[in-house]
Amino acid sequence: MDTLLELIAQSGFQGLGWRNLVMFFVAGLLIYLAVKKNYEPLLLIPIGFGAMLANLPAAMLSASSGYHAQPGETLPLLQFIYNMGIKTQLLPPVIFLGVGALTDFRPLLSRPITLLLGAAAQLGIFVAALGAFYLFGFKAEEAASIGIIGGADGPTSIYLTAILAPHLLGAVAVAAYSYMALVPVIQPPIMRLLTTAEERAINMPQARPVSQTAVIIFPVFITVLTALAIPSSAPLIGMLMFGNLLRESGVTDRLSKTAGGALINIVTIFLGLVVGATMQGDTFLSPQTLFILVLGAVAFAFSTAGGILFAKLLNLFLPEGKRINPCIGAAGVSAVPMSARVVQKFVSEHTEGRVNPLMAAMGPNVAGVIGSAVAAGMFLALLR
Amino acid sequence: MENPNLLVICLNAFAAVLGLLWVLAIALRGLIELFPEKAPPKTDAAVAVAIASAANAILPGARVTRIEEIR
Repeated sequence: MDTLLELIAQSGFQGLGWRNLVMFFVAGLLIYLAVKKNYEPLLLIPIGFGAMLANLPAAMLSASSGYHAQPGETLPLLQFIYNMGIKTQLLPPVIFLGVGALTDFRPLLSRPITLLLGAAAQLGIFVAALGAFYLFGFKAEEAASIGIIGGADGPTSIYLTAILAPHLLGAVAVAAYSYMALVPVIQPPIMRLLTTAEERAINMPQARPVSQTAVIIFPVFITVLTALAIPSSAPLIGMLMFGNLLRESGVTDRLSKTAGGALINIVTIFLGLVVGATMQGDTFLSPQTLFILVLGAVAFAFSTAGGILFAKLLNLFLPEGKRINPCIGAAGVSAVPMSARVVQKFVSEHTEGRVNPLMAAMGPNVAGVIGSAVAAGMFLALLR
Repeated sequence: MENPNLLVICLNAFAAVLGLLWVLAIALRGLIELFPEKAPPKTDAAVAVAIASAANAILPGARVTRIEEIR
């Protein structure tokens, strides 16, 4: 009988509170959205499951930046992965390696001007950061971590937040990936609001072909220039471009396949699970999380608007035949390739299939990946 | 960091992102000018005659002025 009572005393039921139950619901919601709505399932399922594990009382499966092991104590499983993968800033750059191996930068190379749209579409990062700081009272480091959600780039958001505001990691990651999944809902109304029928009908001329030599030199070129200008962006940009060089060199097929296949999948599992494990009820269930979700939406909206408005501004200076369809500016947020697909669908529907800017939109879309990594590097340089 | 002026930081950061990507855009323009894609080989005469005769069979009197291979 004593043994039974002791077992009951040691069980998790003893420590189960309302926060755990709410977090089970949140975890279930994330898994539901991933399974039923196909919202970023590769990330939301590990995050959702990690959140559930983190809120099992006495299971020791949570992770936090403030955990300090006692001398001789073995680290709990997910805390160990957190310390090895997040605290060391290892996992997000490895994801970038895989992204580089999976990304074709030719649409950007064939239209270098679209890099500017990828830069302008980072506007939301700074608007949301300012809102978080001045309206909601977040500290500067926290505000920057919230703002980076507007870059629509999960690994960059996790990378920056893990360094500047690790206690917000769960909320920022969930907001980033949720809004990335909601790009088809968020962007079309903004494109409709900011463009005229005439602008949507701009049919951009076919992009010039790009030589294989230029494609191979591109990642080296971007890495050197960017890392020299903003060294703190080098881990992300360097790994992104290294992955791309593996892809484009044509002689490292095995490495490219590993980086863009098994490696990115393994790292995604660890990253998602451990981000979920930071979502303990007592820290996650706070007004701050709600503010972060609101500010994330604001960041996305302003980033979309920034890209579109900058394309319209460029059109004032471009000759008639070289004008840009401003809708492709919306693809400057780096949710690749979803944002470009949303632009394609929107423009095609509004022009009865006459204008199909998918390839043109891929230029700012991949430029956005570079833009958000550079923005994160700037925050690190100025706030760390 | 104590009480940083986030407005100034954000303005500087956004200007730096725009400025750097502007420089990269110019550099990329130079790169593709420096290493242009080679012009596709001219169409073989026998292929041109075959295409012209096929076009003439369908549309008598039609003249083939340009042949483009799309890969």
